[in-house]
Amino acid sequence: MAEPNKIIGLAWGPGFQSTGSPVEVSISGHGLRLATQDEHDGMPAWSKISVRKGGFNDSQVMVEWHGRAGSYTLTVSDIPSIAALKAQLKTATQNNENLKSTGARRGDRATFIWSHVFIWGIFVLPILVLATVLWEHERLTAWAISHVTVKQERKLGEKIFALTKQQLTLIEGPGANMVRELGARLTQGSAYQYEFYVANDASVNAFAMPGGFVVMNTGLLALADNAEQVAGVLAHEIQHVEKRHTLNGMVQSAGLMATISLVFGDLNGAAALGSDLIRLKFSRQHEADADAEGLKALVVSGISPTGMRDFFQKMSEKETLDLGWFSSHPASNDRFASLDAAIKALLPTAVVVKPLPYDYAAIKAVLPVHFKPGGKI
Amino acid sequence: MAMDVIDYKIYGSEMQFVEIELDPEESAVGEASSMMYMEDGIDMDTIFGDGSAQQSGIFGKLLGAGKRVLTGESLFTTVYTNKGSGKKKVAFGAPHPGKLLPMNLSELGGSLICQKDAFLCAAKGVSLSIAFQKKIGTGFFGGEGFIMQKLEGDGLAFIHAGGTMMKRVLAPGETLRVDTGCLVAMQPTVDYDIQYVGKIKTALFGGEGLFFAVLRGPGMVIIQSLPFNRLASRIFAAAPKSSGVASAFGLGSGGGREEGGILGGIFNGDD
Repeated sequence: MAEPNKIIGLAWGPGFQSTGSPVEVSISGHGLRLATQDEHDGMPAWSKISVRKGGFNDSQVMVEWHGRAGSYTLTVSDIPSIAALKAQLKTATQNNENLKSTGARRGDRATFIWSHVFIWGIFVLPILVLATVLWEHERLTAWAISHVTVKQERKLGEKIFALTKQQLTLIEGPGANMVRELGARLTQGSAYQYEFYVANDASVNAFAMPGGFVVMNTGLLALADNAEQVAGVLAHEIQHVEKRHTLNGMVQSAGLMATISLVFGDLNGAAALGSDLIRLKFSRQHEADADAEGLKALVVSGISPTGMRDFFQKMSEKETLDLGWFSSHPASNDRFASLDAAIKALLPTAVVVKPLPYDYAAIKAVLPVHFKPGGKI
Repeated sequence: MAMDVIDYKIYGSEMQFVEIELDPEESAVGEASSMMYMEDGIDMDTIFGDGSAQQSGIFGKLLGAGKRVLTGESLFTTVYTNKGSGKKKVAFGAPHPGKLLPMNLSELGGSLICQKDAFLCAAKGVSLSIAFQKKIGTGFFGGEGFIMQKLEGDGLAFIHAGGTMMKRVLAPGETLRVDTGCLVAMQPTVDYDIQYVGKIKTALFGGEGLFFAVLRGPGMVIIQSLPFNRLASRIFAAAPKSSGVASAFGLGSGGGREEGGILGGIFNGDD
């Protein structure tokens, strides 16, 4: 235990260990006294000493002074030593007005308040931003999208299509001609300039890009039984363009990603997951919309809407076959059911129309053999 | 109270372990589940708390154990004592890639503040407690959270962190700006604070976050090159995913099915 006029601490400076040497220091009305290389440096007067708090959690009292050999610091963390030092300092302050103590109290207080305001602002503001974005993201997305012109959307679509095209093997032939003709029939009077393509890919899929680029895989053409089914899928895809679903999804996930990463820094996993979930939820809504609107477009174009329904039925059967245990997923089934109900609500004259003038079997026969890079199915 | 003086040898380069040689009746404490092997004659005893003799009574032990839970350690510590004759060895392995560093507490003024989880093993008598970060800003943005570990005593303790560790002694008043999360350990005389990066552009797009940790001397600090959570997030990001928004911008990264999922394909949302 340190005596009242002795304190223990770590000394730093010329001649001491770089990680601080444990020392015992005498304190008196005059100042400090400790053993240093240069004897003079070891007995600074209070007038030459400045004292401040510091270190981890301000757990240390830092006593600093300049000597002949350089500057010295004495760090004191031991509680009795701090008490002894304080008591001695108090006496010294009364005796000596020149004592340099770090006591701009009022300034400290203001800094303290402002730093808290700042820190809480930094902490709370992003959460508020995130909450607002999540809460209002539909409206925000709608607002953002309403500022995108058809022309701009077309440009975006061109860029995306240029990128996507590198991965696709686009083919020509009677299949592609049929898709183009059906597409033109379904998009009469649209503000968009559509371009329809067929890609040689075994997976049963079709997709639409903003601005009117629609690609259908040969796998889908091969699965369809007639031109009405192909028209049904096209009608659905066209509605994704008309209703700007893809653009919507992109704006939404870009906005969410930007906001989330702004708020959380690089919390990659959680951010991706969160925006994925939201995207998934709304894409389902989009799918249902595209189905319903697509059905209307088919009727308006004088194409039998049963093809669309039949194709979803085929898909749901295929899912059952392909996915085995995973087949409890009711997605295509549900869509089939709601389409079926919608068709039953239509007038019979809209359903029973002249079949499309294509020899679908012949078209299917000349489809290229499926080739898929990487062999992924 | 005299600490046990232990001899040791560190093996390995990136995933290290330390082998500690114990004289008869000497003990070492290890973090639970860090023991790798031990020779005949070493007696293993699990105690509640951290094995330092400072805790007396049930309440003291409970308090010590509670603190250990807060720092992410387990409730129990295992004490390895050489009950045989002659020198015996026990080894402790690091839990993730990185480096082990022996810290002689007697050369560091008797205490060291560490990142939580940094402690691996020590001579018996080194006590482990929490150092609660009292600065709100540093707690939130300093990268080490509010809870850190404090090692006290005058023996040898081994700490562990990711990547390569740098030991640096700061002169009084000397500062070092460190990426948040990279601080492993420091003497309590070091001032640990945060500093705003300074430019809004850097803060948002510089990739280093909004703040640096600022360390101000005097004292020794240890910095790690690769905080484990950084490594983990890279691994997580590289792990194959079935779907992800990331792929929404990497168009054409896969086959048509993936693109269909992104570009409003007809089976969107089904997979």
